[in-house]
Amino acid sequence: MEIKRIEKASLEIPTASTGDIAFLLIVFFMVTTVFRTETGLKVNLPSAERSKKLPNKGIAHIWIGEDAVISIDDNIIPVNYVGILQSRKVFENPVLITSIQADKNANYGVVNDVFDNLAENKVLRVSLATLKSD
Amino acid sequence: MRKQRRKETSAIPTASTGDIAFLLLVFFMTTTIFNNELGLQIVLPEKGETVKVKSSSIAHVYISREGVIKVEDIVTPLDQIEDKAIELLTQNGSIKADTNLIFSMKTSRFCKYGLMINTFDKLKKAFVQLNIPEKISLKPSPIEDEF
Repeated sequence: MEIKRIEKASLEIPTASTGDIAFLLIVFFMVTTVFRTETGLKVNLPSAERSKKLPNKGIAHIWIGEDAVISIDDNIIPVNYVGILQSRKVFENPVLITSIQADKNANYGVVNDVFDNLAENKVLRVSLATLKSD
Repeated sequence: MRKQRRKETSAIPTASTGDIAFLLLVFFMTTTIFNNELGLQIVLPEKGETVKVKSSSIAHVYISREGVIKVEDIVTPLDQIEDKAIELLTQNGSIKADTNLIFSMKTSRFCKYGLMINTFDKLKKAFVQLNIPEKISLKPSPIEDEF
């Protein structure tokens, strides 16, 4: 009777699938990456402690610069058109949050005019963008 | 004499695909910026939606053009607003906070937005500490009201 020889175990770790795994991860990151399309205005946001994280989707921004310039979708907009523009977006997505990115050195009056105009056009879900302070 | 021809391998070497893929992966990981926007959530009152409130259940907060903050007509520095608000909310000595009290913030139109946000944040903090729903109204102060 022939004695069967014990097969020698291969010492190498199979690497054929690492490429697949890595590509899977790449596809994931590529899909989840969101590129900023709007540049907005350069603003110094105020900081607050009670600020909350906003969802990734369903946000429309309004930029209010230090010099009372209002920008939506990279266009300079007069105050009285802000509400109409935003209400159109809210009509398409009722759970849309309007994020107001106002400069901390802007006058409160300008921001308040935006509030009033939004409220007139029934845009009521608003978030005041801030930075986190400890 | 016949020369023996070496057989060419027909397989493409795949040992480096993993490396290439990981290189790309690292690139995407480092360039990805996760969108983490922060903000103070508010719900604007609908136009024409006026509610009559007893004047006793309103606490007035005024912010002047120069940035002076007055809580119930007492000048209060920014870092004391939270304590002051808690004091007002628990005024009647009860452990339970007064959930009817509304803070009415009237800010000068010429005041810096940043100061208004800081004050608003402090009031919000007071409400959160007492664990009661926030009732803060934001309004501009009429120009003749400036002090």
